Amino acid sequence: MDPDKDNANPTIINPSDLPTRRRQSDNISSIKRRTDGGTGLFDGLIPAIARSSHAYDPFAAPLPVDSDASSPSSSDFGDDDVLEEIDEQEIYDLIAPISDPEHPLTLGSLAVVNLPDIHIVPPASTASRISTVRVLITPTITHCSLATVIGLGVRVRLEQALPPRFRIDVRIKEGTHSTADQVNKQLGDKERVAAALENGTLMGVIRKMLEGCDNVNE
Amino acid sequence: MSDVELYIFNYDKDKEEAAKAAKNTARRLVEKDVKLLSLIESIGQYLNSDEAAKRTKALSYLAEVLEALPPKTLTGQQRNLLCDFLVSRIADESETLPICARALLALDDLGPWETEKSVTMMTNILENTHPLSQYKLQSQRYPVLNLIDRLLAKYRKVLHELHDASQEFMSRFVSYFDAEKDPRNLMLVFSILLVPMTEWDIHSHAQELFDAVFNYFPITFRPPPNDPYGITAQDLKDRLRHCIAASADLAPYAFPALLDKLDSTSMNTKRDVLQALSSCVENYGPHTISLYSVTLWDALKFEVLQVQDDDLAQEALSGLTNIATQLSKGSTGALTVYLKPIAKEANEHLEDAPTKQSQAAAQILENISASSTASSNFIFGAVLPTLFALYGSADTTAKRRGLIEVLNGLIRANLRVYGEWRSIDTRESLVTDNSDQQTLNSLSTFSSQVLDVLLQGLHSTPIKEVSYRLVALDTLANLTKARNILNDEDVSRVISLLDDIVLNEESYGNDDVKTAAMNSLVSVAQQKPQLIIDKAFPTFMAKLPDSDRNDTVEYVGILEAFAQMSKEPKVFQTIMVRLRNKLYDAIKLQASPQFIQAVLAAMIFAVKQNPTALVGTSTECSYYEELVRPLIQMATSAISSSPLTDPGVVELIGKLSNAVIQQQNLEFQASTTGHLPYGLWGGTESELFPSFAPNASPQQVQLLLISTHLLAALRRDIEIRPEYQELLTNLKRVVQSSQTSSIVKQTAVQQISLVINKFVPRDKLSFVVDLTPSSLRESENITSANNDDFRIAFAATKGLLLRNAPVVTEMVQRLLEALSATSAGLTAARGFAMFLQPDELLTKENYCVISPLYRQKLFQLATSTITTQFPSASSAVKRNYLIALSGILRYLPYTVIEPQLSPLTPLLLQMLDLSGETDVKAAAIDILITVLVQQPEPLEEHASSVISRLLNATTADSNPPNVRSRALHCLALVPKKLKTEVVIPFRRQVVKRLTEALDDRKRAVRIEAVKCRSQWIELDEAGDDEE
Amino acid sequence: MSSLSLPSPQQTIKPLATLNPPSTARTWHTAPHPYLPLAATSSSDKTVRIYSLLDFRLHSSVSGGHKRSIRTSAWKPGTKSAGESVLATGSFDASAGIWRRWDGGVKGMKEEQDFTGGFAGGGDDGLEGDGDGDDEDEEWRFAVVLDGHESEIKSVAWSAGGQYLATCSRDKSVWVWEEMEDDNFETVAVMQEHEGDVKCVAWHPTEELLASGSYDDTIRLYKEDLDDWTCVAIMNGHDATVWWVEFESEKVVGLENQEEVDGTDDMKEQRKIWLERRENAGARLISCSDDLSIRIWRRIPRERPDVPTGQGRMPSILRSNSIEEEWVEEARLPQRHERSVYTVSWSRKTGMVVSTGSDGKVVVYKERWKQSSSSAGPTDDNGDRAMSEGRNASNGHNNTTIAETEWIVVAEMSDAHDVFEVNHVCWAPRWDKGRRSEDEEMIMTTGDDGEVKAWILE
Repeated sequence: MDPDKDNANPTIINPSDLPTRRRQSDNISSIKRRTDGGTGLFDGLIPAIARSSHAYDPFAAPLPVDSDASSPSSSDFGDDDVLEEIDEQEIYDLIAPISDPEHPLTLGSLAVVNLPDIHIVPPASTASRISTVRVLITPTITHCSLATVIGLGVRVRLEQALPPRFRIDVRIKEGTHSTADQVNKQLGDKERVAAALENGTLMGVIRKMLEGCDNVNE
Repeated sequence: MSDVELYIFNYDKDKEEAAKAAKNTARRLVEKDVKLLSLIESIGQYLNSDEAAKRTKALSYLAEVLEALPPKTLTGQQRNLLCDFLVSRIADESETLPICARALLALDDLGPWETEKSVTMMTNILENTHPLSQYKLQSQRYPVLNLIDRLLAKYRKVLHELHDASQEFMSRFVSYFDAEKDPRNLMLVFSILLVPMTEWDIHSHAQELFDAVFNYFPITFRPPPNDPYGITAQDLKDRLRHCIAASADLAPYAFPALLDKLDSTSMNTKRDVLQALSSCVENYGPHTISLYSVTLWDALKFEVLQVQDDDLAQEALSGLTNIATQLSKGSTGALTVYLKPIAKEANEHLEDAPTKQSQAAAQILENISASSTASSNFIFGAVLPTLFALYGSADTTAKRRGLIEVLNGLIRANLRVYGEWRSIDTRESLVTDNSDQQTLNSLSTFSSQVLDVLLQGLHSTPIKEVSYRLVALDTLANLTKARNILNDEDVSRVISLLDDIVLNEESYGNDDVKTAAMNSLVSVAQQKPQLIIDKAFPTFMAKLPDSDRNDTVEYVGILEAFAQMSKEPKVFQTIMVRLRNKLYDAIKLQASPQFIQAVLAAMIFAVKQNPTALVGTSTECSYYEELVRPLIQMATSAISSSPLTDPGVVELIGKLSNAVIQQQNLEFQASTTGHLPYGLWGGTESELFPSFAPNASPQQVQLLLISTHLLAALRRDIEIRPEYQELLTNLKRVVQSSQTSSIVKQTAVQQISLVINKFVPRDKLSFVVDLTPSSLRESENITSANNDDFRIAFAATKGLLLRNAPVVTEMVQRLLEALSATSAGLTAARGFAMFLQPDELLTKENYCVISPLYRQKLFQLATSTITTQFPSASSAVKRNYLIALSGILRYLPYTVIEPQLSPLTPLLLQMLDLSGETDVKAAAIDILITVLVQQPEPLEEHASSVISRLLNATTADSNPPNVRSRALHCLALVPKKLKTEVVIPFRRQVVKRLTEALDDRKRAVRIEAVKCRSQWIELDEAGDDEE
Repeated sequence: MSSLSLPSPQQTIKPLATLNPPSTARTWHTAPHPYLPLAATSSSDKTVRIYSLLDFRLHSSVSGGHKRSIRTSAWKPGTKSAGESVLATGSFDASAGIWRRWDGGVKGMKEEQDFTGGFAGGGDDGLEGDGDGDDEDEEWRFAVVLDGHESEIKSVAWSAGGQYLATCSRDKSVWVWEEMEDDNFETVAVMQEHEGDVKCVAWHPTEELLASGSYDDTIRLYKEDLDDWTCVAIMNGHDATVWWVEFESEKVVGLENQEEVDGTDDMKEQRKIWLERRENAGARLISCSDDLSIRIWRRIPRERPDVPTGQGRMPSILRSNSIEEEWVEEARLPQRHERSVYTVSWSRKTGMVVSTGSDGKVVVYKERWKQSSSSAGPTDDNGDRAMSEGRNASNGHNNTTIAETEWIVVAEMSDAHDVFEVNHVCWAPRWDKGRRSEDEEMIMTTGDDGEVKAWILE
């Protein structure tokens, strides 16, 4: 075992076993699940006369949406009036790709964050619009000294990625860490978190952890 | 003053002058104006001077003279004479060595001297000037090293003899270079020492030699910022590495020394060590390696099993693999000795799979097995039993998965050394066992067991265990690839399992497993086409209904399966026959249009995969006779209740026919299909094409859908009937008729473009101009132009534009004028999107004339007009210009737009302000994205308006999701592409404004918003530094 | 007037103004000026924005002194005569700053033009450092930087007389600085009593008594004892971080003028006893915490030493100390907050209390006489009454009956700053043209959205 790592040999979850959102039939990925049990292989060929495989007729009103592949057509998003609520899976997708500070692995694949340990609590009363996100993290081993950093990483990620109407509570999962209470108290302390974000070295670590999360492809 | 005097006089004052003097002498020597002897004499006096400086200068003079001489000016005798002279100088006065060396190098450039002189020279040097370090200046030592390097290059043999002759020589030789520090010199020292190390028998001196070079390990040299000599640390490292790896005799010193350094904490040192070790392994030869193999394993394994740094792990891994590769060239025994502990350790790690270490172990096993057939065989024998045992006792699927992954690796490795069914085996040659080629592949001893484990595993594991099943499937696929491992029965078992997964298994998640199974089938189809045809097809056909009257839809999956498998040419034929029969049955049984469409789509997909397979002779083509012709006839004679009257079906029949006929040669097209588009209705020249008949039924008119595709498939030289004039006139009428459905209008419009592009002779283009509706010919009537007029005008113009006919300019101009018209202007504006949008009919494959420059042409015409007229245009019609422009820009490659960028940017930004025109916005944003990626500078002056407009485009109220998402994507590029100081001032506002997009109602938009926002937050650091 | 006899009538909190321009970064805290129509807002953009309370627009900004977020600020009292305002700032950069600025042109009528004039450059693009500093008087001078704390300063407070400045930090210490003449500050005490971050410090309105609340869930009091500052009391009630402590005004307000129409002499007598007790116990202390509770603490006057029960038990070191004090929990305010309560403010004018916190709510409470122990108070504070009774048994007055008070919620509002957390709330004098009386007060809230809002109670 490598002395300078808390856990040099963690168990790793295979990517294809990580929870993923079941792709919807209205997205354009080449392989997708559809009611017809097909994969959409023929979509380019079968002319749904509505969105004709013909060149679109700019003179026929109403103007159909530009179906040039380079820009995703509205149909990829489904009906804009259909509200897609922020759900646990979406939260999971935000934090699972965060990389562990001591392994080149993601928190998802190390099972540090798990879908069942993410809960969204709706507003307490109709008067309030404030929902709460509760994330329980499971350190790879009970004495992991990096638990606080990991928790902070998760909290920072969510503060940056979720709309302000969400309050974010990141805690260590019951009985998975020796000093859980201290860690939880720190993670819960808004002032400490705010100050931590201004601490260059700490932010360096966090930034590295979050690097993998949003790669803007050109 | 004589040249010598001049030289010596100027030596310190004026190098130029001095050099001139030397050159002068050289010239005179060439012109035989001075004798060499007199030259020597002239120098002689100074050599006897008691001022050391004078003596040196004199020699330096000689050196420069020699350097200035062209080859062949001195006779061999003269050269030998000079050589003796200089060598004696070295003996007499060691201080002069550097300058003598310089002279000798110059001399040698003029031609060789007698070889034994080199021996004296070398001996002289070693005896009188040892060690070299006594010369303090790098510039002094450098020529000497050069000289010795030269001697070893040119007079190697004699020096070798010198070494063989005397015991002392080598020690003195090696120690001569002690304490050299300068990188330039070291480069030489290394290459000098490399010669004896590689070529001579240095056994008794191995240690001295090794120490001499290893002193410098690891190289830590960092070249100065603008180092004129351009020597990099890497250069030094490479040479040093070659030395260390030069001879097996060094092994006893090299391996301990290197392994000792491997404990270093510095990543760079480790890297150097690992690379050095690899080279040693490659050069020392199997026998030597066998002595150290196990030691090396014990040292290197940690780098792989406890990864600190990925590329170090890779280095170590390749090192370990090299050892196996080398040992495979030697005795099997040695290889076994090496592999035993590896297998043992790996087996231990497998016990707690899947972990980082078990994965590392798997990597080691895979790489080593891939080193040779022998390795592969041994590993199989040593690991598989344990692996199966562990697998049998494994309590979690995760563990079983981990083990199968290992197995998969071993099989992949086996494929690399033993090859696949279909591959002509190139691999073997690379891996030359000296044991006979036909070593039994021990995978075959395990194959049935492996197969059972996998099949059983796939059957029994619940479908939600995706990763396990994916790995198992992949392993299975690899197993079936392995040449001469599975017999046909085995493969058939695999196939039926795959069939079962694809066809019968209930869908789960994203159906990754079904997809993987399908891909496996395709890969099996490549390895064993016949088996697929015999085993897979029947099950698939059985599943495929003759019609979908019992409204099932699962047939789509099966059809897709067929289409996929058709990628393999061998099975393509069969698939087409089966599908054709299915299609005809379906038509007979009046299956639903959807079903027929699906079957047709599958066939089109297959056909497009194998275009060459369609090509027939000049007289016959089976696909035409048995497929296209009958289909077209059925379609034309279809009664109204038939599914063949469904426009979708008709369209697809057209596409299929197009795909087939397109491939046929001119003769065939001329003789057989030339008359098709309008003749196949048995029509003669006289008879009118049904679609054009005044009393044509909608069905008949709809047949245009087919004829468009047929027309597209024809080569240009075909004479179409009816002739283009009649054809175009009719098409125009169809377009303008109020009866015509919009889809038929569109196809008719496309046909107009096709005909004009392909079949109107260059000298008859005026006809086309006249074809355009009068309303669009005289600009004052423009207001009276209706949609159909525009349809025709744009179609005609497009046909000409693509073939870049001269007349097109004026036609485009007219359409541009239309933009200024209040009502008609908007229609015209929309029309411009027609020109460049992707078009599946007007293509080179369809023998259209596609001028390489038509895009540029349209772009120039449009932008010059629009940019000039826009500013003055009334606000009512401004949007027309923007819409038209965007209709063109959105389809243009960046390179075309680039030169016009600065005038266009303001217009682009205004497009973002157009309310309602969402696709214009989307297009503008896409262009901005390209600009940002390609060449952001011009945008910097507009930063503020770009950012604010993009922010506005991210709000849900007025923008559809795709615009919001693209705007966010674009906004995310801004901080990456524009100068930090330009964007910093907007940081906080953007970050704040984006919280709104984080709450977008659409998930896909939110994802972009998150990415975008974090890009801007990232700026934070930079921002704070500014304050 | 006699409204109090009825079950607490709901008042409403009405928006008065949003200070403009807001900060584009989180704002932490707002401090109203002791005698000028100004308020200082500390922001994580390293700036303190000074807003005018006459028209709620930016008046000037204080920036360039701190390297990290400014967490808090406090105006030095009693500088009116000197005609110069002094502001102390506490920052995450572990330093405190002292800033000075002449009051020139910030009084009476004519200054309003001064303000409007002053706004010319007050950029509204929300970028930091753009406070106009064109003419000399507008300039804030960075007078002194007080270094010493090892980590973020969380709170600063001037003693009533302005002689002492207290600072506290994540380094668990509380420092007391004394201002010698001309910007020369001396450290007179460093108190390392707490076991966690010290979140806040507050001075007693009349005595030189300092209170601090901490991450270690306790509240501590300090006093100078023969020129050596020591901890004189610990309050252990809260079971989570104490975010804020604040003393009541010198005299109890809001109760004495609550004439009971049909008040029996007996009642009057009991209330007199209560007021006397308050009189010699001195100002009470209020605190709020992560445990969602807001508590009021009362000193047990020395002259009647008696064994304290559960509440306020103290370590023996202090027992032996002659100046030790005993403080007990007198009451808990009705619990309205669903998440951490970050601040409470106790009005010097009306005795009303306002609280806010992470849930974005603003709640106003009022203390009133309880009819009698049997009378049913508003349902929302049953719990509280129970507790005050429990304490009365041990407050040394069980022989003579004494009146009781109870706290009721008079107004409540959600989402004060849209969906954002509210970091600070305080009572401030109202200065704008609309004010109804000389000493009318308004509520000022400071939020994560970078905005500061003014509210009035109706």
